[in-house]
Amino acid sequence: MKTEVAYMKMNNFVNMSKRVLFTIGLPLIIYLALGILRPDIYFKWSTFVMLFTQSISYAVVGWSMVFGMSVGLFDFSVGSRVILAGLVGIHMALYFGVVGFILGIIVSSLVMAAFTGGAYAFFKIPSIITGFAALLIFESMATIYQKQFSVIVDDNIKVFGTSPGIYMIGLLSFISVYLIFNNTKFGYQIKAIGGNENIARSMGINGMKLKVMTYIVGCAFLAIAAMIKVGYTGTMLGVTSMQSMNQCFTPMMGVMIGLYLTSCNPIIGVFIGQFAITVVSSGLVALGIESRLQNVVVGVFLLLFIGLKTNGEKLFSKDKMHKKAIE
Amino acid sequence: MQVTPVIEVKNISKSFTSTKALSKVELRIFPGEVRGLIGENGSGKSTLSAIISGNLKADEGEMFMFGKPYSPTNSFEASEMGVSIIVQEQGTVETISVAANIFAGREHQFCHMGFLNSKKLTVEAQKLLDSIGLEYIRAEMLVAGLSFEDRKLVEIARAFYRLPELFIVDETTTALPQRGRNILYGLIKKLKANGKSVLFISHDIEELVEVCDTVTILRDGKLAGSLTEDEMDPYKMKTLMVGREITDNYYRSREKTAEQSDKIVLSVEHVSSKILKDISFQLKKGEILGFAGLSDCGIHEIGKVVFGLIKPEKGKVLYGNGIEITNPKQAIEKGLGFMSKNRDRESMLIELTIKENTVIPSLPKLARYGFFITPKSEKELALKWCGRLNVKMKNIEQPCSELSGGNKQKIVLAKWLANDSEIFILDCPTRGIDIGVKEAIYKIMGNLKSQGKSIIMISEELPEVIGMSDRILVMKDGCLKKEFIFDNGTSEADIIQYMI
Repeated sequence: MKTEVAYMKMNNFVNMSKRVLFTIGLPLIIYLALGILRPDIYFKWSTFVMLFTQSISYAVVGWSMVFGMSVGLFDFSVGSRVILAGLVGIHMALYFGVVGFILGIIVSSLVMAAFTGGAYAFFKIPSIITGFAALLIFESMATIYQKQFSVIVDDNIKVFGTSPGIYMIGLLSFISVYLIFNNTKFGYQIKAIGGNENIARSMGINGMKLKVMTYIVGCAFLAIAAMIKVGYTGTMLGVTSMQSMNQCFTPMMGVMIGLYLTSCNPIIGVFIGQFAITVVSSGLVALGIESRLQNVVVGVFLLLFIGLKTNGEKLFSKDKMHKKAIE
Repeated sequence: MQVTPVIEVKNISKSFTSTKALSKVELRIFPGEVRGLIGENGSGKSTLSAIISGNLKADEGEMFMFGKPYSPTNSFEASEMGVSIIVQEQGTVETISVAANIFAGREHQFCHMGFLNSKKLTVEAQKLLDSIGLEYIRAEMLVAGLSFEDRKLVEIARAFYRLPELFIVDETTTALPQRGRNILYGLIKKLKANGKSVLFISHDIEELVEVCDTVTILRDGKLAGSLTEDEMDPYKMKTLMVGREITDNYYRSREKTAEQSDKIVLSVEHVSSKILKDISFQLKKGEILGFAGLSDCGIHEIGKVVFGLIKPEKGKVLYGNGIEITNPKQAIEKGLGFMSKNRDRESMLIELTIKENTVIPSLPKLARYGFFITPKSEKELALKWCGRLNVKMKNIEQPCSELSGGNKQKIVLAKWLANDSEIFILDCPTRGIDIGVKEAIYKIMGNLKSQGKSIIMISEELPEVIGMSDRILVMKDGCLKKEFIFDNGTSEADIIQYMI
């Protein structure tokens, strides 16, 4: 009996080690590969810290999207909402200081989420279309709005994007999103709807209500992302012609990797995915690859990762019959 | 003292387009009663259970629960009112844990200050699983890691969290291994002992006799009779089940069989798949080969395997000249056409027009210089075949979504006729269509046969399989059980013996 228990414990330990190795293996391999190519840059502590810090900002945006993406919603208005919320925060900070900054960002983020989610529920149209419409509205509002005041912030606001503030905010965000995703009724129901909406509905879960809630809950993390971004760059600038979409693509890729990284919790996976993407992107800069080509490489990386993850069993199975059955 | 029924169904009727699924059905189930419900495929059993469990709304009639009006708007509402159902199809979410599935929609019971106590939820789920003999299923496991049978048992556990007043088992036992069945029978006994009721739907007559106190038989959406425990006799039940009159002239004429030759046009050799087990048969030129069996016995997979939609794990499908058919494109090139049971999702582009649906398989033939298709040639082809099949439509630009079930079925046939197909795989060709169109489709099948075309007809309706086929292959649990060469003596009872 004792041997059996010991064997089980050993087995669990081996499985856990495998999972941890696989989870951190992805960014680790990329990092080491880049380190071999450019040891002068990558084998420096400061580089690691810089990449880690950058990943926090993207990961928070990713965490705001993880709820919606889990239930099949694709919202491209995320970037424009960060920009407009950041601008409202900066404007409010001029009158009410840090409190105004925080409240301005939270309230405006909530209003924008309610508008986008409400439009999705009211018109019952695909989330991509609602997202694009919202993006156009918020981008235009941001560019008009930013002309009304100075968009350079004081040092007291910069604490949100610099050490140690950014790490504390990142950690708090991680704990909150982890708890919401894994330890609330909302998180449980999100996973059920994402798994099979029809069955989940027959189990009494209100799919539409839950989807609208993903906009509202996600907006809290978008607000945090806006605070970090303003603090990190010291400003916020409005953009037009759908350029704000750039701000949601990278986090979106991180979320995709996170949701496919089955060896760990998706919330941890989002950060790992984000870190991997950040390392790849920065590595391409370090290697002197032209910016347009960087997007190609990042795109190929995403395709390869998800392609291998989805078809890995089929590709690497030695048993022909098993392969055929998987097909 | 008069006992109030747990559930009382009064004059319930339900139609799907022109098909009457239920007609003025009455049913009363009393506390502590295990009621069996039996009938042929399409007799209305599942429609009735879906109405009682809130999954469907009746067109007419009313329901009462313990004497009070009862009209649930969905299955969750019904479940909260004490009516739980388990059905044949998958009813669990794969990507979440067993515990999360058991308590989905009821998570609030484990919430404190907004946070869900997942440990408590898992412990509670495990307790429930242990209490019903499913201790080998771990509550924290992902459902994706369980077999189909175990997933069904998880559904049963979910239904039993709160002892339901009425537990509906809709043809679920076929999905369960013996161990699972025993667990289910044990739970049914437990319910009965607690004064709760069960509506047990099954095709397995012996099982019904063993489990039920009374049995109600449905035939063509109507009540054919009810038998008490003493009256329950398999022969009597089968007679009540299939006791409709069959008019031979309704199907094709039997005299002319000269068009059938011994030339083999298709061979299926030792095919095995997830459901099918070592299936072999041959189709001859000008033959109508019928497949009969219960809906989940593998008959519907046969059509998909032959057409190349499902790749068999073992074995092969060979066209007459020995070429293996491995995908639908190749099958179409070789002159095969497939009408799926799930017409709107698998056989038709429902939002496209009649013209587009009719000409799609024939586009390579219509293309001039290999790529250019003239609007005139499309129109002519669509008009020709829609006219021949007498499709009731405004014009060929009408979207197929606006057509009735029967006319949609004709369009599916028209598309394969337009492509000059030689082998037709018709899976439930008359499903959900009215008598008039049914007759028209039987006539088309007869004409095709007389032109030397071959047909594989898969059907859950025994009268049409007997009425139309030259040869009938009966399937059970993925295996071929019996071959009947048509003669006037073949009866439904003969076939049922091998199906059930």
